[in-house]
Amino acid sequence: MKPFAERIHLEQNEEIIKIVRKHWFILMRDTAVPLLLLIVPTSVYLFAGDVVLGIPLLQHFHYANTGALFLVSAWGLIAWMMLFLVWTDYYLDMWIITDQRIITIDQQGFFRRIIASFRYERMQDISIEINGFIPTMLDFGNIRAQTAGHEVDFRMNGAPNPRDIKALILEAADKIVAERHAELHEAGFQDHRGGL
Amino acid sequence: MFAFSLPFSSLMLVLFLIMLFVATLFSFFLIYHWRSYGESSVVVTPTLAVYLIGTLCFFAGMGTAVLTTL
Repeated sequence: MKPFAERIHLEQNEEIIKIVRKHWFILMRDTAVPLLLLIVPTSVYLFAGDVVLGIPLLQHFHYANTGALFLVSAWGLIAWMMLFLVWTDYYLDMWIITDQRIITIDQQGFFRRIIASFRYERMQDISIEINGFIPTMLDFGNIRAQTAGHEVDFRMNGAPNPRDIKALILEAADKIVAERHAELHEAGFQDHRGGL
Repeated sequence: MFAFSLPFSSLMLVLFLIMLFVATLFSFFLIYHWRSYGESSVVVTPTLAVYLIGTLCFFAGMGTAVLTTL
């Protein structure tokens, strides 16, 4: 397996400052349904035994019945695959904040992966949004970065500690802009205050 | 206990083979994505290991049921 920095094609001298993934609550929310689908029928199968649950069909849905074993195994496998699809989608979505740009990776299922990047010089504004009781308590929200031109804004929903991430991005952006100004100054360009 | 007639056990076998095909494809794409895009082997390896072990357990359950009824 190639090193991660090589797989995402970092430029020479470019360093990763931070990798940001969505807050764990988002993962928990998205895995709730597959987990329920996995646990409930399996529990009924294993623990119902001869207990009549009041539903005639379920009288035979227990560990002594091989048909029920097949159904529970097949159902469980489907829920298991759904669970890992959600986990894959969560883990492979990320914002990679480097000292020169932000790389956004959005994995949508298995057959769609959107990778975009924007340099700090093109960033015009960055804003955060924390809406709701749970996001406020757990400190996660949406980060939106606006870039110059007609490009689509970059968004990450459910980012943890959005204020800290915004501060990190602004600090990196300020540094790169200051470096570019210094380079231009060294190259002999005068600003409008200096005249000729 | 239900008495399984041949058609029902054949149906289970067909379903087993379909699930095997689907799970194999899914596993292939899952492993491909994690190995291609996973950031660190500290997460990639346990994820794939847990997935494969779980899948094998479910297939063991289905296989047992099919073999019992054939």
